[in-house]
Amino acid sequence: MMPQIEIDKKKCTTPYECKKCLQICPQAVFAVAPTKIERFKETDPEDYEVQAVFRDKCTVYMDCVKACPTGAVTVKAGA
Amino acid sequence: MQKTAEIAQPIARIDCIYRRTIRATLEDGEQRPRSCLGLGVGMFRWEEWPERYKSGVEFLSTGEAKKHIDHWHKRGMVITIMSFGTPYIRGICLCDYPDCVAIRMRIDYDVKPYLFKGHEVAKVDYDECIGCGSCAQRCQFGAIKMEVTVKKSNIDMTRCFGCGVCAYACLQNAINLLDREKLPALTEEW
Repeated sequence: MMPQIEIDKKKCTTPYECKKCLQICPQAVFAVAPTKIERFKETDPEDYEVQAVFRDKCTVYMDCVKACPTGAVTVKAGA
Repeated sequence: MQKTAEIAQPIARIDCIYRRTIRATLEDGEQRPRSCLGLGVGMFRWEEWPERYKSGVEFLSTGEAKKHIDHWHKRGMVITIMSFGTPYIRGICLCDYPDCVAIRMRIDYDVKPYLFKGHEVAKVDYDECIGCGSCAQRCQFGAIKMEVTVKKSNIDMTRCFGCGVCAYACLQNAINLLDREKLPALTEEW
């Protein structure tokens, strides 16, 4: 039932600067989170990744797919 | 909340990590407010975790903190207390849906420990209510509906978190905040 949201990490190269999918999603499904946090150090923007955290809320409206400038997001309706 | 601001020292204004993660706003300035308040001496060591406290911290006096809380409460933010290993109080959060993960976890997934209800419960005075609906727009918990036939707003007290945002929004002062402990059915409802 749950839609399958996939983010191609190879295409999504600047998650921290872009964040278009986060802002456009009507259900606020996405999150951009650092993959590591170090003491005394700000995380490198390259160490961020977009995650579809609240994917059970997704309505497959496909705004994220349209908004993604690199075509890294794919959404498939769940069977 | 005002009392918390009186007791706690130091108070530092920081940006909300959830808001930054979920809705991508790195808060600065009036448009993207640096909204949350961090409490306690730990705030002096914020530079150890620059990632967590991105955009820095701004230390506030008690008066400034109270004004800050008031300002955002009036504009519709839910004011919550963040504990980091209860009873240690770590911060005062300003939350709204869907940015706030605590609110989402509680109302979307019913994970209780993320957010408990407040000590008060809102109730509409039907004689005063004119049915303008400004309270219903504000509720972050989906507890307020408009009763179409009687043209009044209806607050589901079992769903109410007692944040008081609706009472602030009501121009008629028709919403009263009652003591949860005085309502037998809701006393244990957190």
